[in-house]
Amino acid sequence: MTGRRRGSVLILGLGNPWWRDDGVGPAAVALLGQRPLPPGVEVLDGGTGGLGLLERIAGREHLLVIDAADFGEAPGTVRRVSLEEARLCRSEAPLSFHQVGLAEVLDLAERLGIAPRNVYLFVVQPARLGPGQGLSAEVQAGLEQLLDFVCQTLEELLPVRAGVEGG
Amino acid sequence: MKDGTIHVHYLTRVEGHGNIHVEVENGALKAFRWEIPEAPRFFEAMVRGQSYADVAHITSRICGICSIGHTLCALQAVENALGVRPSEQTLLLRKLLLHGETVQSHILHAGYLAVPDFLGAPSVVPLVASHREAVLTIVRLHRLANEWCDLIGGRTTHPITPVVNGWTRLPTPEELEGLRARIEAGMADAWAIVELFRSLDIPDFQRPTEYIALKHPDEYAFYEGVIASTDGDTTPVPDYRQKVREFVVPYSTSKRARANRNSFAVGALARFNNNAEQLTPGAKKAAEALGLRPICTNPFMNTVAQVVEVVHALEDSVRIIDRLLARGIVPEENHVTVRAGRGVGAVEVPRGILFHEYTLDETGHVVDANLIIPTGQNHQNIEDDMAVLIPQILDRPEEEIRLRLEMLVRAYDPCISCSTHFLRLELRGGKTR
Repeated sequence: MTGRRRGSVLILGLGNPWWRDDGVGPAAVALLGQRPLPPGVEVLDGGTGGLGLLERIAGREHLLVIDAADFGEAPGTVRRVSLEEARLCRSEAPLSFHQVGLAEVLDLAERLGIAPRNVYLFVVQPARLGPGQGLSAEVQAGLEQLLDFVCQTLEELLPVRAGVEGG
Repeated sequence: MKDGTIHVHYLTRVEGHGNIHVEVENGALKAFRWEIPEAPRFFEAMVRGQSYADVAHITSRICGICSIGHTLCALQAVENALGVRPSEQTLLLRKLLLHGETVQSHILHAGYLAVPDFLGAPSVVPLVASHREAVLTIVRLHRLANEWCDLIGGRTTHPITPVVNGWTRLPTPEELEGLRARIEAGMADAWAIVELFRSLDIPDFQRPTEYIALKHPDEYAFYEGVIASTDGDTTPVPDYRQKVREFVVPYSTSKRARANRNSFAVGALARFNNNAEQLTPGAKKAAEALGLRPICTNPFMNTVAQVVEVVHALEDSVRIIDRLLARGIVPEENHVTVRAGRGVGAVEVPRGILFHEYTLDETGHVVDANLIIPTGQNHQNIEDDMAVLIPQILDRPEEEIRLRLEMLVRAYDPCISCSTHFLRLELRGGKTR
């Protein structure tokens, strides 16, 4: 409708830029938006998410989520994990500030039969969470590595067919 | 329930934080409160000293659900302060964008947040098994609305293309034709939602109150009009403070408001009660099918009125697009001459009438601001509903009372803070001291 076809790959940055390191998802997608990406790859700032995300992830081939998460490592550490590995926390978990967590949205998509085929999570260990803008030096330092991880993953997912738009 | 305290701490499936507190002693209602524990947001202070050109972008961040409404209301207020009347093309596109947000927000509330109440489910998740097609319909409509706002506003939320006296980007005729086709195709989904709501059992509860909404001679008012009341009076928008009088209560961080009576209601039901005759033919049919007739005094019907407005927004948007295409999309100059002045904007956002007021100095910087959001205007009405509803249901089990009160609050689709932090529900029983 918008003249753009819906991408087969969605890179979704989650978080609140007004909650310090929780803003790493939106910060990462803003940087990714400046990089040349293969056709069919859509980049979206999903904000604090919730059920509104359901329609955004529906029917995608691959979903790449970037978010802050507490996995007990040094601040700024970046990990790529599969959905199963992540064992996503439900909304009562301390790191999920939002009414409906990503886990629930994915669960709902799964039940409806509209879930992405592959889901990867790129998580960053935050140093500071709380009201205020700007990322900590540790998380800022991890951003480059995070973006490289994401781009590597895109190459793995769209190897030879890079340039072919999905939909 | 004979004795005890019901305390719903951080009510779920609403935007923001709110608590319901009820105390019962010897089978009689002793005390009740609708509490807002949120920290104040201070947006009125934040915009002081800012340029007229930035005000809409800043206040758009008040809300992630009605950011389009805040943007348009801020632009309208600034334009009124500067003495600018935008072109017909700008006004038509703004109305089209606002309809997109109305569908976006109403579908989110009616579909995802309210339907589980009527079907006795704790959330939308279990409904996938019993109402899979309905949930998929909701997802499709939500997608349509998101892509619609994206096309006209440049972003799904927090729009970037609408600016003072115009746009930074105009949609092409081809894009508008594409949107028109999508909206027409979406009508079937909207009717499926009407059918779903026909099958639901809406609680029967009546409490007459004052309903306030914008009113316009030529259309079911969303973007502009005068302030109309079901009590029969009208007030010009610049005089809004004479009609909507704000006050505070000690147990809530959100301001409240009253007009002719102790409380009044705004939102879809208030718009319907004031302007039902101006709905599109399809929306009138939907209202009839759903048993919604003005003046409806059942607050639980607000969600039903939202469904009717979804049909209206879709049909009216086709009319707006036809008008835009017939005129032709033309690039326009959006220059303004800066001057000192005061301006008030009033827009019907999904949850009701929204007011923005700015005073600008001669350099176009804000020296004073006042914002009144719809949910603030509904708080006292919610509490007054509780005063009548609780005694009617006190003989029922505690769990049932709690659920009915939660449903009442949710029916208003409150957007308590627009800061969507995580929510929990806590019930504390036991004897009242």
